[in-house]
Amino acid sequence: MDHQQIFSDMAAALKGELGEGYSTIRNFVESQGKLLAKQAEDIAKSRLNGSLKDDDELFQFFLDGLQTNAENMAKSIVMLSALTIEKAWNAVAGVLWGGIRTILSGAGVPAGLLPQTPPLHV
Amino acid sequence: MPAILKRTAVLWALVLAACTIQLVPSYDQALVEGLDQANTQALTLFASVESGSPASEFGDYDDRYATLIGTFDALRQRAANRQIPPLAARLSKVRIVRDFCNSESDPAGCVNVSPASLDRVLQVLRRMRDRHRSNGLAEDTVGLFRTDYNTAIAQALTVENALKR
Repeated sequence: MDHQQIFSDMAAALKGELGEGYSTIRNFVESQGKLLAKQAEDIAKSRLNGSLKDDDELFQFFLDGLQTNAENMAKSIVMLSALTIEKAWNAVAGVLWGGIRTILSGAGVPAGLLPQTPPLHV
Repeated sequence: MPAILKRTAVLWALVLAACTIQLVPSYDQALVEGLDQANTQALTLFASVESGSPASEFGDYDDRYATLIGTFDALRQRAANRQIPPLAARLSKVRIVRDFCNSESDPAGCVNVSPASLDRVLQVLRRMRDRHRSNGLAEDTVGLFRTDYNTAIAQALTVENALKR
């Protein structure tokens, strides 16, 4: 295994993890966007002609819910992004460690000193 | 390339290769299964009252509300009390993350979001129960509670399932 092969494998691993993470986040944003839009539309309709027309307390409850759900959606996107970064980093580190392990084994370093996966976890 | 740069690059490559990281909590299968089951029960309750229900019928639903609220509260506790990875806890203190995620009041705000989403689920179920008991539920009110619930539970389900690496 040469360094070109290692870089090529690292790029492939990175592309795979980032692509999967982006897809998850995009689907989440789309579905949450639709739900929040429906929530806002339903509140507006009910306030105009429904049971919220004369119910300020419940109207406020649902408005607060809209805000809370929007804030939690944004935090969920941050968390899903952190997960994507974590997976991408670990995929690259795994490939790089595998390459180094192969090179060191070829150079005569005993296999017992070279664990299968990266030895440090933070 | 100067020899010192080469050695530095090799050193960094070794450090990078030797380290895996964890930025968000581990997958919790029991939590995911609990959420799936409780979600089914909640959607069944919404379906039972989707045409509206007067306060006089509240007694027929009282136990179901209590079961659901208790179940979701236990799941929220489970999610809130799990271990946050040390690196994630440190990142939450970085200023830009702290400001955006409101980490001072909720240190795990952006690295463990499900407790907040489940908190909204509980608020919805409690307010719906109280409204059912005092005034009864109009058809459009049930729809409003349900949409609010759907948004919050979808967040928890998506995030928890994504944690399965």
